[in-house]
Amino acid sequence: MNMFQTMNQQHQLVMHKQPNSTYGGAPLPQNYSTASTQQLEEVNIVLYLVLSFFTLGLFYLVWQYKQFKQCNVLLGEDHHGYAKWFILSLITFGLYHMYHEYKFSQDIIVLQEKYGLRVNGSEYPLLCLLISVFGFFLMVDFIHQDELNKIIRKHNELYR
Amino acid sequence: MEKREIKFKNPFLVYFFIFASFGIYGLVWQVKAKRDLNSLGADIPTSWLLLLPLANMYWVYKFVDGYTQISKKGSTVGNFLLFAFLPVAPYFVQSLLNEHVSNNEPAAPISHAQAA
Repeated sequence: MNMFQTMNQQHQLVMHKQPNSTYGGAPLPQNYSTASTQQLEEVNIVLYLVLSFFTLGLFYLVWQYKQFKQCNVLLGEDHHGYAKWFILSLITFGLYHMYHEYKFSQDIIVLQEKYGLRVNGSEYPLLCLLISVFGFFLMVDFIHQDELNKIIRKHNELYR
Repeated sequence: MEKREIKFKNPFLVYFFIFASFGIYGLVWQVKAKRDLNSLGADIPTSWLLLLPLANMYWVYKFVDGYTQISKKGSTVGNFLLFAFLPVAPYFVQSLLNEHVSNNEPAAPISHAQAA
């Protein structure tokens, strides 16, 4: 890779780090500009769904951990704590998990803006919350993971 | 991208065939529509996923994502909920494919009498 290409990529990154708008007034992460240059692996959604099914949902916890980690790396800060999510979801009998899905959807919109991808509409977090409320958590997770995979693809292209 | 000739189908006939075949034609139509959408630039995975539990929901989501990407109407999650709870997918998707067929139809040759 020559110097011009490197400079061009750096310029693209700067462009992506300064969005013009944010979703519905949702605050941007504090250290928004410090994105990690770590390469991330896309998740094979079908495999994870099948594993979640055959392990009676136990693998879902591993999947959640991976999603949290990916989102934190992309945001450049520890925005989602796994232990906090696990304990609060247990104590509140899953209510916190619904709230978490809503917040996660908002973060995905922030990431889409950051990486210059097609941004989901303002109804996206609300629809994800609605699906969660009706008990289809896995559905929300593959929707989130699909969006995360698109963001990871872009992230890996930029930081290759 | 797969090169494929998209055929015109009456959406109401699709409903009729689904009803008459007790839903089996629905699967056939989904596979064909998936190939048509992929030929227009969508990224829908293999239809074998329809046979796997949970993965079939993901397949439907990707199918709707492909439809939304091509039609540029609404959001993927909104359309997904609409298609999941109401039997409207054959109408909307087939209408989009038919629209594409009519737009790409070669113009009828002008007869000598018309030209004159």
